Amino acid sequence: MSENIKVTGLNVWFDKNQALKDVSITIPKNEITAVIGPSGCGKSTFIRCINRMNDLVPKCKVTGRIEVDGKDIYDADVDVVEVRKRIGMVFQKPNPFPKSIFENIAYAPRIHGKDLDPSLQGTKVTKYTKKELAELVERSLRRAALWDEVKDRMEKSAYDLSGGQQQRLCIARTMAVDPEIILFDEPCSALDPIATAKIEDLLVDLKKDYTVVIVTHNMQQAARVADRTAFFYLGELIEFGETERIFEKPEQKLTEQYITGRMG
Amino acid sequence: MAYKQRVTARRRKLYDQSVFVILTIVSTFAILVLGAVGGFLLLNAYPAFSQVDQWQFFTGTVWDPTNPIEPLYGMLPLLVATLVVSAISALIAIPIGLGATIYLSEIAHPRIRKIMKPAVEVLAGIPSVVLGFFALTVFAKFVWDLFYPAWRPDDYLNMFNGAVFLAIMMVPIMVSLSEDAMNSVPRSLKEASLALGMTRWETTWKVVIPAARPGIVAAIMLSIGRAVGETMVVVMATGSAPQLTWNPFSSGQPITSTIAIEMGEVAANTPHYYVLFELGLVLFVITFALNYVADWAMRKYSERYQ
Ligand SMILES: Nc1ncnc2c1ncn2[C@@H]1O[C@H](COP(=O)(O)OP(=O)(O)O)[C@@H](O)[C@H]1O
Ligand SMILES: [Mg+2]
Repeated sequence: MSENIKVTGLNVWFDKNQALKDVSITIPKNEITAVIGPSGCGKSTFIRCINRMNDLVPKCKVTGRIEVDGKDIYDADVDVVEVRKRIGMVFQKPNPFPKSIFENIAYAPRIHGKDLDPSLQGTKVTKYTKKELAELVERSLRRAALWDEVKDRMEKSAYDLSGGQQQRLCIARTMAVDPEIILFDEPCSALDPIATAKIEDLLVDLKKDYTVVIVTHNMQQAARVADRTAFFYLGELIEFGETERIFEKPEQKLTEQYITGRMG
Repeated sequence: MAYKQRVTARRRKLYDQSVFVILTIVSTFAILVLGAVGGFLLLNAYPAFSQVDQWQFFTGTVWDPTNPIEPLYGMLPLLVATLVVSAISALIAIPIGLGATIYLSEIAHPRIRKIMKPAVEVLAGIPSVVLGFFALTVFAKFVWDLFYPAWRPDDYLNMFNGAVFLAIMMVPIMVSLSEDAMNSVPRSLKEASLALGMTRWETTWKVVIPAARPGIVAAIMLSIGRAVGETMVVVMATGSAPQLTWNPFSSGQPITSTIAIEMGEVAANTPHYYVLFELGLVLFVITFALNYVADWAMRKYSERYQ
């Protein structure tokens, strides 16, 4: 196991309300890490720190370190735009753009351009040609197991798709930017069981290429897909370990209460 | 229990039906009023169709209805003045309005927005006679002397003068409506774009504005409609000389001014009287067309995207 995201002493305040308290956790590369806990315990807040989405919330204060491949993403010299390119995010409710299916995927790569030398962190880019863009769109859609369902209607509005398809479109859109980490915030909470199963299959398949962090309120889902599971309670990380161990032999009383459903 | 449910269900149905009936009556009423206004104009303009040479009305370049020897009812000077004044006011108001909208909805601190938005909306409530007065006394002189002796407007009161103050009236309408449109773009769309590594600017241009475009187009069209129909400012500020010219720094007399100025003095049931109603009809058609374009634009974009 090689470490990918190393969080140390993370505290988050919204105004005077402390949402995360001294969280330290190391998330390994090419694995799925699930974040579970009762609602309001800070799960979303936690993953939104990893791609600095909380920067957008006025009165949100973050302290501590989040190192990605050894570099603190909250350092002053870090470009938040680059952070978000490397660390993609899929949200709770599918949120495709009001554009065509094709445009939903092509939107970001077209603006970012093609990285000629990834080590230069997006400073040396060139435009995608039309053909390259079409290839990239196809590749992303295939990777999200959506291509066969949409290949004949690429110019149709993304809103014509079902909820599950929209969510896979959002995953494809994220992958088109070529991130190394993808964060999922309860990606299945708006979907039916069949659509959920498809996303879960996809998640397991994705970890070959990406580090995946998924927030879920569904413990079975965590048990099904995650290699490791982190349990949060009232803004604190209570327990973190291999999923099997967490579900079978929790060390903390709170964890046990939560996974056995005996928590109020 | 079951009985109680049935009662609430019936009450809800009754409620739904009465809301439906009331809304139908109200909207029918709106259409009736519109029809009545159109009918009234048509009825009063009708005699003009036979008493005034229609070819001359639509293509004539001279508006001189009180000429005792040969009154001339050429509408072009008035129509051109309306076009010039509206076009220039739109040219001034659209960039300012859009800029202010983007600033308010995307850049300004929430605290500033809370003060600015109502302030802008109050601007919309300034009586046009006050603006006209200001245009007449202060602004006209300012422009008159601005580049003197190098340059001076052709006339002291001119179409540009009026257009500037029409723009001042248009901006608040536009900002208020299009800011609403931008604000109703869901936050989830912005977050989706930002999470892809887009900057705030890229997100505003490529996601928020396109999503709000139907509302923005409607706001622009409605404010142009406002400019086309506005009377007081143009009566006071543009010089009221019905001459055919595209030069914005000359006096001009748009359709609205003409009706307002001449309706008070014209003898009833004369050709001149009927022609003024026909002018009203032309104005009615123009504003109607603008609203239709707005509607069409909204529907076109929303169909494509939703
Ligand atoms: N944008 C925000 N503004 C203010 N408070 C917030 C915001 N987002 C989250 N919080 C607060 O932070 C705490 C954790 O919320 P969240 O991370 O959304 O929980 P979870 O995702 O586990 O349900 C809650 O008390 C919530 O009220
Ligand atoms: Mg949440």
